[in-house]
Amino acid sequence: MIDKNSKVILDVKGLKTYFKTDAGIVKAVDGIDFTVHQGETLGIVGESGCGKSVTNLSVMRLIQSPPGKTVAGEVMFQETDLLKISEAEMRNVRGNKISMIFQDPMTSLNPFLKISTQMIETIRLHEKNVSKAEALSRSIEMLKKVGIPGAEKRIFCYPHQFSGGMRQRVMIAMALSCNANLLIADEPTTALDVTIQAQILELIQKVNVEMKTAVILITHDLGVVAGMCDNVCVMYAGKIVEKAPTDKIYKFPAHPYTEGLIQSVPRMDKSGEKGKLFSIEGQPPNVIDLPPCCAFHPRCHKAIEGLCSRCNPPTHMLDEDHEVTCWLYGTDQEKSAALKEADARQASKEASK
Amino acid sequence: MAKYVIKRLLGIIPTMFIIITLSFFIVRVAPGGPFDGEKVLPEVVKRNIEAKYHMDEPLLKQYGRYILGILEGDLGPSYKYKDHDVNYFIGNSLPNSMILGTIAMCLAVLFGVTFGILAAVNQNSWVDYLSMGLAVIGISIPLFVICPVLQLVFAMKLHWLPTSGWFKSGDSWATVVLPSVALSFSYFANIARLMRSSMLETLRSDYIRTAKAKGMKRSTIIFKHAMKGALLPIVSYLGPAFAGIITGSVVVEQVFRVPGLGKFFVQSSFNRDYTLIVGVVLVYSMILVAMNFIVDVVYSFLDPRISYQ
Amino acid sequence: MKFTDRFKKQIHDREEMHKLNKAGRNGAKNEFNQTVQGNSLSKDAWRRLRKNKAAVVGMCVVILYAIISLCAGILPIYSYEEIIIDHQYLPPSLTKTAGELMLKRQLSEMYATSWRQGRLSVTEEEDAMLNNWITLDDTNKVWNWCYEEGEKQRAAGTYVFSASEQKKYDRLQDSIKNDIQVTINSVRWVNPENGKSYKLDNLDYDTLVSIYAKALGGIDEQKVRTSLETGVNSQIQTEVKTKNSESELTAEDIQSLVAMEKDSLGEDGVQAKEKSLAVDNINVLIQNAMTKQIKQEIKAGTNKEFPYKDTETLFDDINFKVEASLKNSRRYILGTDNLGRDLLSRIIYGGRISILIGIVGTITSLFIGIIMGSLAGYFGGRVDYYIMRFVDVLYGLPYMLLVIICMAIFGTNILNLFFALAMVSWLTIARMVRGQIMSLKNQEYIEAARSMGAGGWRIIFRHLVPNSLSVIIVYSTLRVPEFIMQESFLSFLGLGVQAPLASWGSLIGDSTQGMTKYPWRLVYPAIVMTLFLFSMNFFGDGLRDAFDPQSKNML
Repeated sequence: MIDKNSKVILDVKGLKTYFKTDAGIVKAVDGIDFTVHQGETLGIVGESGCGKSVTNLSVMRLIQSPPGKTVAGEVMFQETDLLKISEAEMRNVRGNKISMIFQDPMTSLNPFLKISTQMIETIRLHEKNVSKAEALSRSIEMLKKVGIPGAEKRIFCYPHQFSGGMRQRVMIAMALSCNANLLIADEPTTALDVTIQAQILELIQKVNVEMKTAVILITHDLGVVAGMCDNVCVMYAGKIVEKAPTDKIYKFPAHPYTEGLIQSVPRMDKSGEKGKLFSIEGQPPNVIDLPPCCAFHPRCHKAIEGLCSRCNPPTHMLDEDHEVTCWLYGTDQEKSAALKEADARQASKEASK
Repeated sequence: MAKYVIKRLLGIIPTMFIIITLSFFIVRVAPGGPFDGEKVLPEVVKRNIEAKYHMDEPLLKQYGRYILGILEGDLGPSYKYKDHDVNYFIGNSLPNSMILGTIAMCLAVLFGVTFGILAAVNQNSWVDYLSMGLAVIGISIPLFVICPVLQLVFAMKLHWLPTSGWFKSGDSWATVVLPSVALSFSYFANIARLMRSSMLETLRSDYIRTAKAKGMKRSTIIFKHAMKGALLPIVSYLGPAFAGIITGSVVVEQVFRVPGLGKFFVQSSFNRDYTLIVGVVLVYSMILVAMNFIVDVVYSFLDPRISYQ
Repeated sequence: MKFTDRFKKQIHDREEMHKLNKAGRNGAKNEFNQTVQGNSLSKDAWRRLRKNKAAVVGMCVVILYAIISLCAGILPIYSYEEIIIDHQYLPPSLTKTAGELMLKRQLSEMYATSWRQGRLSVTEEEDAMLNNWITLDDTNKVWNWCYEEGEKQRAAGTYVFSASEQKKYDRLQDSIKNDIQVTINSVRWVNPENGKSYKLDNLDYDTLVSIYAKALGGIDEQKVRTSLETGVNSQIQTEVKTKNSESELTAEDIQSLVAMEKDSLGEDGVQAKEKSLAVDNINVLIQNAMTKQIKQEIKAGTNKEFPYKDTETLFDDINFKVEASLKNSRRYILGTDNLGRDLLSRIIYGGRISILIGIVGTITSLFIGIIMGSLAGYFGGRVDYYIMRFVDVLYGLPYMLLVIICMAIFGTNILNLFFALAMVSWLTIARMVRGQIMSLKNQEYIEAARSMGAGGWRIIFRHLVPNSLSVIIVYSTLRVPEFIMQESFLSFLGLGVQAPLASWGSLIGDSTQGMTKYPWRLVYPAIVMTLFLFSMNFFGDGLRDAFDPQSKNML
């Protein structure tokens, strides 16, 4: 467990990233806040397309523009707003202070360059005074650390000569070769076999503990989160719907969506009644042009008729570190105010027609 | 690797064999013969001439004789020009065509790749629109329009460059410029378009995102990480492009009076000069096949994923 | 093929779209109570196409070309094959008539000659300038300059025509004012026995001979027959001579060559030649007679309005339409060629042929390609193997060269051209269709069709081909310009369309002689052709991007 008083290294506030498409504006990330402390492992969970990857690419300023653009918010990293610094300064942050591991190790390594080239260039990019030989020996060491057998020889191989798990190890070694303060792991195990998955996660955990690197772990697998993370953010349709320490979220899931997610994980210890598994009905919505409402209400079994479908839900602190955005916890006062607002909106809409 | 090369080389033999056989019989099936257009000869003389060229023998025997000749490197006598054989004509004109084609190819690749990268890197800027506009023009203007227009503008109106001729026949070096520029234009256009799109696709790929996440400079990313992958489609385009350059040289050589192989092609077809036609087809196909082979080998060097084990 | 792979996904998407579309038309609501607008693939593509300005402009230009080519027959343009030798090499002009241009040319020539003779007074510098132009081969500049200078001096009275020049000048002025061009159209012979009318070409030899004899003033038919025979003989003789212009032939050689040629034509062939000669001669007779008649009428003081159109009868039973106009009041907007034919109409008719070849060629190659490709793709196995190996071998050939051989050896006519081009152009389409069909044939709806007992051909043509259609359509739009280029390439080499027909390629090919003196003959066809190819390429690119946005600007 991390120390609550340890330094905050990443503080994201009101981040909004929109994409312009033929069909309209996609609000992939629509105003989210979260913080990462030194040495913390933060999990970001959600279905595919809910904006978890975009969130982290926005932090790294790697959104393709056009069509994407981070339109609002601030990303404070070690007292600087990453969204305001120049591109050259940002390059110095990338790979050096914040590094990333991507989902698909098969395509994330350059197939035309040897592993040695790719690793050495990363080191020499951020530490100009390191010689090539030195960088090579450091790379080999890194590879050994992430558990690649025969690293001295294999470093001169091309990526396609490695298996998927090995490639992901190489990616991790590369990401850590500059002693980054923050490691963003974007679904690092999705493309891998189950047995390899555990090894890779263990490796990330080891890194987290040994090197005191903070980790943001993006995943859609709640099992992974339970085993690895200190805190969890649950995302749905570009917004964070629940944020809490891992044990709290598992014990008292507040948001119906979180509840659904947890129940839909098959568990060996609680083989469900007659082997039936819970599932959330329907599909995540298309985030183009959403009306002001809870985006989850069509799939929610606890939705409040006439309220969830008309008004944006408020955010509540259930506990000092447990935050949820849902009408279930709204006060009556809030509800009536929101309904009034929704009526007014509708009236003006009809009037304009 | 060596095994692969040998296998590929062996594969060339049947292709060439089919090409030779096809062209040998097609030209002979057609009506008319090489001696039709000349003086009407007394039967005896005609028969003597035909005997000299073994044309009195059955077709299959002629074919066998021809194949044997090719194996010895002899493409046979020309039926129309009695003083020389086919080897002489090809030996004299092929180097000129090759020089022209190679220069044109180099120009096309050099400018095509440069413009393509510029366009891709500055996507949707005026650089992009300019180079792609130029490329569409290059694709749309046929070779036989470019040739006379270049000649008209740069040689006849502006007098910057010689109208026609060839440096090997004693004219100035500048004679190379117009024909090779004309010949390279549409290939430049195709390569530029291909390069742009493949560069854009590469820049969108995951490993480029990784390189960005490592904090690399844009220029380094483009030249060190994206270049190799983006060049692959260009390399595989070069094979067919060379075929096109060969065909195109027929027009260029005609307009600019370059003493190349293209001239013989049309002429010998009209003259029914059987051996010369088949000889020229043979040489062209050889170049084509060799070019495809080289392209494959180069491709395998560029892309480490292709292995021959 | 990358192109094909990309479409695989798209076909799948399309099916999804169709499902959505069904719901959308009825104004379906989504889970958020929003009305979802349905959107079909073609609607979507059209929307994207409209956004692409270059493609829309390209499409409009292509449509314009198509309309002009279709309406070439009713456009107010001169005939594309009417040869007026007096009008050869007239430069393009919007305002001046042919007569004025001829006069200008005559005058510049006269002034230039008198400059050489020293009768036109020029300063030393001007003299040097003119000589410099001549060494640079810029005769046009010399003529223009001489014309302007001469006119100036003549107006000032410092230059006077010599007697012969004055005579030439007067004669030209006279002919410009009075020369008439008579055109004879739709000549028909009316059978006096039953009153039916026939086209001359469709008559049999004997009738034709009798008509010809009558037209000549009722001479002996046998004489007509012999004259036709000698006429055809000399025709063949000239043909033989031009064919063998390189080798020196004795009269005897020519005799035997003509005999050989006649043998190979056969009796029917010779008679056909005699027939067409007779038809031509009758037409000439009619034209001469009409010209004479109209001239006489003018002399006699009959006031005729030009252009003048009428239907006349000559030699008792030949009907025809006659059109007469003042020959030298014609206007050639784009100039004329070496035989005095109107370049504008040649470009229009040439475009008609080029575009026709482009379209028909594409359709033919599509037809072969679709059949071969779908056979290979659907049946797979051995069929696939052999078809694809065949395609591979053909790919290895320098195919344009094969086309050149075919055209040179089997003769240059449009049919051969189609055949040769179609033979080599179906390869890519076959590969593409094969790839498409291989990817489609394992989908459920094909399984369903098969389970319901549909046969192979039915599945291919009712299910598989229609589903690959968007790929095929996009590809064929890009194919048309290529075809036009290939046809023009052959015509440029003299292996394609033959005179008097024209195509863009042959116009450009003809123009390369005398390029500096008559640049318009090169420039206008080149511009027209390039513009068309340009628009067609933009349109095709736009269409592909519209149907498949992922492939933006792929080759």
